[in-house]
Amino acid sequence: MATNELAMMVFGRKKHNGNPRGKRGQMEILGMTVIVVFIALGIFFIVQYNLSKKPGETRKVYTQAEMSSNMASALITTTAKDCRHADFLDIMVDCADYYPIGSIVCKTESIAGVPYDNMSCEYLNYTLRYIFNQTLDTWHTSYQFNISTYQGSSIQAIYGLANGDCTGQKRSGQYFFETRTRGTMVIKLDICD
Amino acid sequence: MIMKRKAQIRMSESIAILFVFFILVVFGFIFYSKIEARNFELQKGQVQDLRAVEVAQTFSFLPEIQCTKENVATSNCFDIMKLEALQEYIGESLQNEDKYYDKLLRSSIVVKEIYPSPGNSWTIYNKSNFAWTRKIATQIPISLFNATGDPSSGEPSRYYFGALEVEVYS
Repeated sequence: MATNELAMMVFGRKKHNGNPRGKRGQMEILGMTVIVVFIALGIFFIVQYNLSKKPGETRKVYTQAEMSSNMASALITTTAKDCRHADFLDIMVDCADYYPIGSIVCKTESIAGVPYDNMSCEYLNYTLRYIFNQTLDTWHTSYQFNISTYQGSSIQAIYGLANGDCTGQKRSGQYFFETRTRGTMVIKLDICD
Repeated sequence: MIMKRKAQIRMSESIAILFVFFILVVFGFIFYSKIEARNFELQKGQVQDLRAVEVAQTFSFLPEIQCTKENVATSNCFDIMKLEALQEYIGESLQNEDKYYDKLLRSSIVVKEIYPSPGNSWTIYNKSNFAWTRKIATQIPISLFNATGDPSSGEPSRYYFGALEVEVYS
């Protein structure tokens, strides 16, 4: 009696055990439940997609693209302070040609009274380290900077510098130059997310 | 008597359903307004970001400061003499500064030399003297061209490494 009343309240009709009409009602409720679950899941995914959108994408893309291309191009045109007015591209090419020391004597220092020549590769090493430290490191930007030469199938890494994790998305600035003896020199800067 | 009870049960059932329905409507409305508010903030942030990019781009391509070689502009390079002239012109009067307002908006633009003399910097434009709620900073590496070199020691013209720092306020 009590179950019949409850069934009447919920379904609007009396419960009939084994009755096909009662079974059909149960199926309808099951169908409705499935539809509600699908709609809830759909709303959940839409909301999650909306919430996962992060602001600042446009600027990030612009900044990273500008950084990668401008940094490399500005570097190669910069005139070295104390390296016979050579620009960094000349020093890089010289270092690539005469790796691992270089042939240009950038400056001669006196260490404990003994004259010491800073050759192009060493000069390049500490100057680039300084420039990257003052820019991308200070701006907390993850990057990978590489200078390498390609001649046939042989690849020679000339210089490499990195900061942070670079496994995700990245934007690259690449420049190609011809060396005298080592084939093509590639200067590549990846700015990472 | 039984009919009266039935009617009471139906009425309380309808009231309960209406109550649940309105609660769901209220929850839905709160949820929707929260999402909309977030979307609005996102769009606002995006517009501000675009404005920051626009200011940085506009300044980078100002003919007043770009390096030129045989009348051809070099991208990503500022001539130091032109920078100093522009700094002097904008700093001369508010009218001059206002001439750049439609291009540079509420921002501050500083060009810094990083190598070889890290102390040198030029504040070209500064409109930060108001109450702002958000600041977007963009840094771009650039070349700085010293056309005169060092006449005293007979050094030729040279390129320095620098950075353009643009801060846009809103």
